[in-house]
Order: sequence, then C-alpha cells, then structure tokens
Amino acid sequence: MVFEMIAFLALSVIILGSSLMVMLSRDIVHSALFLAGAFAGVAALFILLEAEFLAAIQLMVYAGAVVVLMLFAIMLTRREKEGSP
Amino acid sequence: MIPLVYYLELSVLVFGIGLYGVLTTRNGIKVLMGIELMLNAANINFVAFSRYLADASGQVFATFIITLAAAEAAVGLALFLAIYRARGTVDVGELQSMRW
Amino acid sequence: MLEYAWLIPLFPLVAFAVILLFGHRFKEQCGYVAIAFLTLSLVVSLLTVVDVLGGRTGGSPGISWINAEGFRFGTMIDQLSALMLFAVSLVGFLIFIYSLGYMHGDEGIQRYFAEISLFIASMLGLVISNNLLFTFICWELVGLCSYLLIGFWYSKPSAASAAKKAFLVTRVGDMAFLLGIFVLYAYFGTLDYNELFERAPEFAKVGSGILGMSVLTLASLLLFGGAVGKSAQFPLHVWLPDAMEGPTTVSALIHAATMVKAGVFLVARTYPLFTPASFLVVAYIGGITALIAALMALVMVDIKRVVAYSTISSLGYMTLALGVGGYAAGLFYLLTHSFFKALLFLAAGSAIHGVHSMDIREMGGLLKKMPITGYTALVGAWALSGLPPLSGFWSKDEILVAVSARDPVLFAMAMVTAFLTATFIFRWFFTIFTGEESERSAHAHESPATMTAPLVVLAIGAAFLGFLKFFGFEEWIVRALPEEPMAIGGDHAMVMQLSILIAALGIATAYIIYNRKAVSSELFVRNLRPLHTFIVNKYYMDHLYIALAERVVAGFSYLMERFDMLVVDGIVNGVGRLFIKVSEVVRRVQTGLVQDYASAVLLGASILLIILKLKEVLA
Repeated sequence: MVFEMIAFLALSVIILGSSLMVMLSRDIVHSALFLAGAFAGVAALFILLEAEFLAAIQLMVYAGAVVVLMLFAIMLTRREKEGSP
Repeated sequence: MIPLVYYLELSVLVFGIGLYGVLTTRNGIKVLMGIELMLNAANINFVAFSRYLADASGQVFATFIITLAAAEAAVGLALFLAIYRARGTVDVGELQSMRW
Repeated sequence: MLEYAWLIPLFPLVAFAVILLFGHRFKEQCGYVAIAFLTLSLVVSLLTVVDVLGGRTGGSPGISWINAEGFRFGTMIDQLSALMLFAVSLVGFLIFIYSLGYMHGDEGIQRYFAEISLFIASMLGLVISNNLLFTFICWELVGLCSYLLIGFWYSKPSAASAAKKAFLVTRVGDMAFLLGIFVLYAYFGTLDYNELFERAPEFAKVGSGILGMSVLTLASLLLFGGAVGKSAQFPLHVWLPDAMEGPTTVSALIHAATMVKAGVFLVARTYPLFTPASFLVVAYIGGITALIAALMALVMVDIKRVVAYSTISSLGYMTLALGVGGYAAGLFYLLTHSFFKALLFLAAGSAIHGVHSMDIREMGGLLKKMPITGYTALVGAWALSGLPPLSGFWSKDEILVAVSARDPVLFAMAMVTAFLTATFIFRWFFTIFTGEESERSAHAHESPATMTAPLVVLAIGAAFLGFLKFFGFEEWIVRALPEEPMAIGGDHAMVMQLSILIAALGIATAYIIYNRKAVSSELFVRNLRPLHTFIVNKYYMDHLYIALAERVVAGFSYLMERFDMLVVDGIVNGVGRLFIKVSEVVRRVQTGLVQDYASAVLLGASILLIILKLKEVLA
C-alpha cells in the first residue's frame, strides 16, 4: 500500500516533470526526448494499474514509433541556420 | 489502494500541460506533441476507471486511442513535412492563408 | 363531314411543320407541298359547307386541354363558320397558286410557304373554334403570322418597321380583347359560345360599375376593341397601309381576304352579346372608318396603298352594317369583298410584276399589254364601286338599306363613302390600265398562268357571288344567330336607285378627270390645298401616335426607370452593401491561425461546462 503510493507519486512526478519539460525546453530535440520519458512514465503507471498489455503497447507505439517519427520530422524540417526552429 | 481521484488529478494536470502546449507554442511539431500528451491523459483516465470499476472495456478504449494517436501522428507529421516543403516553415503563426 | 371539321386547320399546320423541317429538301417545291395540304383542307371545308347547306349544324364538344372549368377546345360549325370556311379556304387556295408564280425564285420561298401555311391554319382554326379562349389563341397566331409575313423582306428597313407597327397597333386591340375575355369569364364562368349566348340575357341588366355600363355592354365593347385592332378600324387603322410592305400575295391574303375579316367575324360570332349601346359605338366606328379611309384612298399614289385604304373603308362598311343590325348584309359583303378585294390586290400584284413599280403615275395603258390582268381588275373595280349586276352591288345595297332604316347621319356617311369609293377605285383603274403608255409599261408583259388563272377564278366569284342573294343567302345566314334579328325596314327601291346613281356619278367623275383628263386633278389639289395636305398626311394620326409614344409613354417609362434605378436597385444594392460593411467587421474573427480556433473551442467547451454545472447547482 505504502509502496504503491510511493510508486504512484514518483511516477506522477516523472510524468508531470517530463511533460512540462516537453513544453518548456528550448531545443525541440530535447522536447522529443522528454516526450519519450513522459510516455514511459505513463507505461509504468499502466503497470501499476494492472494493465500490462497496454503498458507494452504504450511503450512500443508511443515511446518507440511515435517519438521516432517525431524525431524524423524534426530532422527533416530543421533549418540549418537556427539551432532550433 | 490509491484513491481514484489521484489518477484523475494527474490526468487533468497532464491534459492541462498538453493543452497549454497546443495553444501557446508556435512550432507545429510541438503542437503535435501537446496533442499526444492530451491523448495520454485521456488514456490514464480510461485505464484508471477500468481498474476501479473492474471493467475491461476501458482498456479496450485505451487500445483504440493508442492506435488512433499513432495514425494521427503519422498524418500530422506528414502534413507538416508537406507544408515545410511548400513554405519553408512549420511556424503555425505564419500559416494564415485561410484568413477571411 | 361536320364531325371531321377539326381536320381543316390541321392540314395546313402539318404542311407548316413539314416545310419547316424538310423544306430545304424541297426548295422551290415547297409551294406544291403547301398547296397539296391546303387542297385537302379545301375539300373537307367544302364538304362541311355542303353539310351546313343541307341543314346540319353543330360541332364536336372537343378535347379538354387545360383541365379546368369551361375550357374545352372543340369545333362549332354553323352558317357563319361555313361562310368563313368557304371564303378563307377558297381564296387562300387561289392565292397559294398565285404565289407559285409571284414568289418564284425568291430566296425565302421556303419560309414564305411555311409562314403562310401556319397563317391559314390559324385562320381556319379561328373560324371553327367553339370558345373564346381558343379563338383568342388562333387570333394571336394570326397576328404573329401577319407580323412575320409583313416583315418577310426583313432586310428592308421599311418592311421591318411596318411589321413592328402592325404588331404593336393590333396589340392594343388584342389587349382589349383579352380584357373582354376576362370580364366574360368573371361573370359567366365559361367561354363556350353556346353557353355564353344562352346566359347572355341574364347579364344584360347587371351593372359592371364602369361608366354605368352593363356587363354585356362592357364585355362586348372590349371584344369589339379587339376587332378594331384586327380589322383596322378607326382609330387603329394606321397599321394596314404600312403593311403593304409585304409581298402582294400576303397583302391579298392577310389584308384583304382573311385576317382583317377576323375582327368582323369576331363581332358576328359574338353578336348575341352585343347590346344596343355597344351596337351604336360599333356602327359609328364603322361609319367613320369607311369615310376617312375612302378620302385617303383618293389621294394615294401607291398602287397597293389605294387598295389598302379601300380595304379599310370596306371593313368600315361591314362594321357599320353589323352595328345597325344588318347581320346578313354585313356578312354578305364580307363574302363578296373577300373575292373582289383579293382580286384587286392580285391584279395590282400582277401589274407590279409586269411594270416593276409601285407608283400608279408611272403606269398607264396596261390594258393592252396585260389584257387578263386588266379586264379582271375592271371586274374587281366594278364590283367594288357597287354598280349592278356584279356582286358588290347586291351586298353593298343591303348594307345601305339597313343603314337607311336606322340613322340618317350614318346613311349620309355611307352614301358619301359609296361615291368616293367609286371615284377612287376608277381613278386607280384608269390611271393604271388606260391612257397613254408610260415608259415602264411599254416593257410590260402578261404574267404567267399560275398568276392569271386565280385572277380569272376570283373574277368569276366577284361577278356572280352577288346572285346568292336570290338563293336565300340572307335567310340562311341568320340561322347562325340564336334568335331571329329584328326585321330591317327601309325603302328598298329608293335606296337601290340612289346607290346606283351615286356609284355612276363616282365613276363618271373618275372618267372625266383621269381618263378624258377634261378637268385636271391639279385643280382640286390647288384649290383645296389644306385639305389635301391634311389627307395626304393621313390626318396626322401617325404623328399623333408617335407624339403620344414619345411624350407620354416615354415620360412614364422615364419615371419608371428612375423608380427602378433608385428604389428597386437601391434596395437590392443597399442589402448587398450592408452585408459587405458588416462582413468587413466580422471577418476579423477569421484569423486563419489554427491556435485561435483551438482557443475558441476551449472557450466554448468551458462555457458549456459552466452552464451545465450551474444548472446542476441551481436545480
């Protein structure tokens, strides 16, 4: 019970912190990486909620595919002159 | 067991952060990131309710949302790539040709 | 054949369609197609006439075309229709044959025969119709064909404007006709002739609320208005002389034998609807028309215009006859006039054909060059002037008797007209066919057989149709009326002697002045200069109408235009401008920025949530 509460609070901090950093960081590549962190946190939260299958899918689809897609898009739309468009 | 309200509060916070990003950031890709965060917040809601009501349909919905989010990310990013090719920018503040 | 009378107008209509669709294959042969179909019509017409002569009348109830009360298009064959069928189809047939020669080689021959077939179809439809609406439809078709045919040589500006003039002037009358139909339908609820006649007495005393006239007087005067337009009565006679711009055959067919008779026919057809008050108007209009047209005919130098004015004068005579109650006399004159006036027109056409001029002063001595044309024209002139024993005498005499019994003023007018008629038609004849040969007439030659044969047939008709009087024509024709008309008194022998005297005097005058040249016509022109100018300018009626159109109508149109521009357009443009102004402001909402839209969605969703919550709390 206590362990569960601790785990939840820790995960909440991770999720909220990464989410905020997604929006606040100046470099968009960092944003994408923080996004991956937030997704991973949510996946962990799913395990806490006894939804292991969803947690797996969350990791694969979000943390894996979508973030990679984002990184590709960032790479393709980045302008040479400015560090972060 | 952790009270359901905790999960809901977390969900609201994440959703709020996502919404904030969508409304304020000018980078198109970041807007998409905000949308992903909002969808995740909804997912947290679904799964939490599924757990507390002991009903699997919440998880089914969550599965669908993940699928949908992936598709949406692919289409959205493809759109931004196309816009970038055409106009050399992904700044949503400059995409104003639909005005009037 | 009574039951098949509906076929009569159908044949020329088919001819019209055939020539219109396949005319380019026939080219010059179009005339034969038209004549073939008209022959069928003629045969059915004559069989129908024989039926009517045998005492059978009636018709078919017809088909219901518009599914409404009182609109059944059927046929009504009585003595009047039979008379018109006979005149229209026979004269039309002869003119078609004449056209073969006259129009030979004209570029528009296909158009000519198509239009003239449509014309004869609508004219035949007009005379057998059993209700006013169908009559009106045919009436308008006839007007349309008249427009097309007068403007046949449309590249000639004078022809084009004459066609327009004819159309517009008759339109004034048509409008009155239409209003008359409305009045009748409003009170009677039907337009079928028989039903109208049956119920006419009911409405003789009912006031219409306009100038204290009864319903019947109002309706009959409006119908007569249509007749005034079509039959070129004063004051709408101005279109007929100008209509001479068309081919002469058209002048003969439309402006002598058939179309202008439509007005007289209409009066005769709706005779039971007329009241004593409206008869008085009819009689005076007729008398005035006859007199003023005869005066104009006296001074014209255009070969066809003289005949045109004489037509107006004759139509005035018929109207006068109908107006004074001489139903049989008027229709008798209508029949004989169809023949001798068509004859005169065709003779004029033949002369034009030979001399290539329209001015009678450039003709002369044509009798030797064109004997058939000349002698048939003499028959026509003789008949028109009203000397025995030709048809004109018998029919005109009847009219004079009828008039003398009713009104001395009208009788005086009719007598003066009779004198003038004899004078002008023989002035016309002497100037063209006798006297010295002019330069142009020296080269003249007789027209081909297709042209002279109809002349001869018409001349025979003009000469002998008058004797129908002795075969009970009058007793026969009045059977078309639902009730016996009042008997006409009048001193028959006295009037007859007087009319012969007057006509002989007229011819003698013309002989002295224009053949013997014992008295120069210049003398009259010099001494009566103002009067001459006045008549030559057609009483300035054209000027009056033009002034009316330019000042009054154009002024009113100008006001309407301003109203349209300022008020109507102002409203329309104002509405448009208002929306432009409003949208100038409102369009700022549309920034095109996706985030603004998302914010709006958020705002809306928030407001919705707040409202729902508030409802919950307050409930």
